[in-house]
Amino acid sequence: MSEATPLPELLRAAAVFLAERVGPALGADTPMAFRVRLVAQMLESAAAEAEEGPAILVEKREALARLLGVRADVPTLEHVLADRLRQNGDLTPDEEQRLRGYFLSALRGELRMLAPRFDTRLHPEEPHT
Amino acid sequence: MSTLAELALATTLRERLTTSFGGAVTVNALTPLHGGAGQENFRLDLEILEGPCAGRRVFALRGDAASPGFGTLRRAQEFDVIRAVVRAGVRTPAVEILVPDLFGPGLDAFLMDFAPGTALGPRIVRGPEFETARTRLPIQLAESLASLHALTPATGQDLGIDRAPYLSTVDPVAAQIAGFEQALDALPASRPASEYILRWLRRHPPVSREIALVHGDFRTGNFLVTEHGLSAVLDWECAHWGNPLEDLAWLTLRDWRYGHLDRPVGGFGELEPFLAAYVDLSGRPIRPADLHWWAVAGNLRWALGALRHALRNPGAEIEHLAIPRRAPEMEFEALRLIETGP
Repeated sequence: MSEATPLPELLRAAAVFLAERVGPALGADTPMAFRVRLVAQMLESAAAEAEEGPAILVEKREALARLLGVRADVPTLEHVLADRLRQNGDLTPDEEQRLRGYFLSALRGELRMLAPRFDTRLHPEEPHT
Repeated sequence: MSTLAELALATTLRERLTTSFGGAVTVNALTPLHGGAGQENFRLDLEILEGPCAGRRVFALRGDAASPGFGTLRRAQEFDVIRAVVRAGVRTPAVEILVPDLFGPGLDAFLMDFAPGTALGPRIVRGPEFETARTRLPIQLAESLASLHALTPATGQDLGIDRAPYLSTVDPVAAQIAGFEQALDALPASRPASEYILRWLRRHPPVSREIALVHGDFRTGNFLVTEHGLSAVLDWECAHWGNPLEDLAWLTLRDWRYGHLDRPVGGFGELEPFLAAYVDLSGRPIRPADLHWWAVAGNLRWALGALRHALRNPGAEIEHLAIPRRAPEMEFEALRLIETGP
């Protein structure tokens, strides 16, 4: 198994094949060419998830645990946080800022994996990170 | 016509339309139109051989899909909405004939005039052939929106489109928030970022509570454009009673700019002239904070709509598997708007 092509590399190769070989052969503006481009993007995203997903999940679990003061798996912690938010209780400005900071950071992590070209700056004049 | 299903449909159409047009009809071509993933759409080339309508005609045939989008209108309702908006002066193709049960029991269709142009967002925002169109579109779209939003429950429009949470008698802000709660509760897992955005919406409500007929999906991709500008507003399946700012904000959402983030109006226009034209034509002033609220709400609506694609006939279409993975983009944009303010 150790000599097999690593999963992210395999998925990226399939994405490149679809985008650069299959898509152009179908004609640029055809519905099937659109779908082939979409599938190539899905494979790229799956490759990024295979590579970065586990680390992002650990990062998220730790950040949620710090925010909520309890330890559990990510789905449980997300359920607890969502439930608290739905109850619509008051938050201090400090808590509000911490929450927003958490969400922006967590979403940046997910987007790095799901949509690597998505611009996650708050203002267009900010430098790219 | 390339498939047996299309040939069978052409035969049925010939029989049904002969009655409707009062003369024999030949179907010269029936071509599937892609886009409008929630419906069955075709270009229909007809020859009416006799009677008062004799001659060659081209229509768009739009039919109910077996698996309709969540909360969308059926074709019979959309037919009535289009008739009303055409009368109000919105640039949209007229509907001609409603054909009940064309695609099966309860699956109706209608014929509408065929309009020229493309609805492909990337071509509209980038194509050199649309350079002149891009300068005209913001004002033309403002005109169409002003005409559309003149239709209100008070003007006596009984369109039969009330459906939860959008009712002609319910505050549109409360309706939107109730819709978000229902959508979040229907998801298989919690979305704390969306819950936070919803919490912010509840705590920063807009002042304007007007109710008018809104398109509900007014964006680049849902109108046809030629090199001269706006050809036709399409896809009225999401029309509902709501706040007019919902349509204005929806057109400015980041996802409908197709990468042209510096062109807030649909990826091709500046905000100020568009809003100024709308205010001038509609007589409705716009509070920036209200428009900002609807932009945050619009991103949340699209995030939840994207997640709902996974619940709709999972595995049927490749697009439905890809779209839910885009929800964090809209959640991020809503949070960015909250952070940066109106």
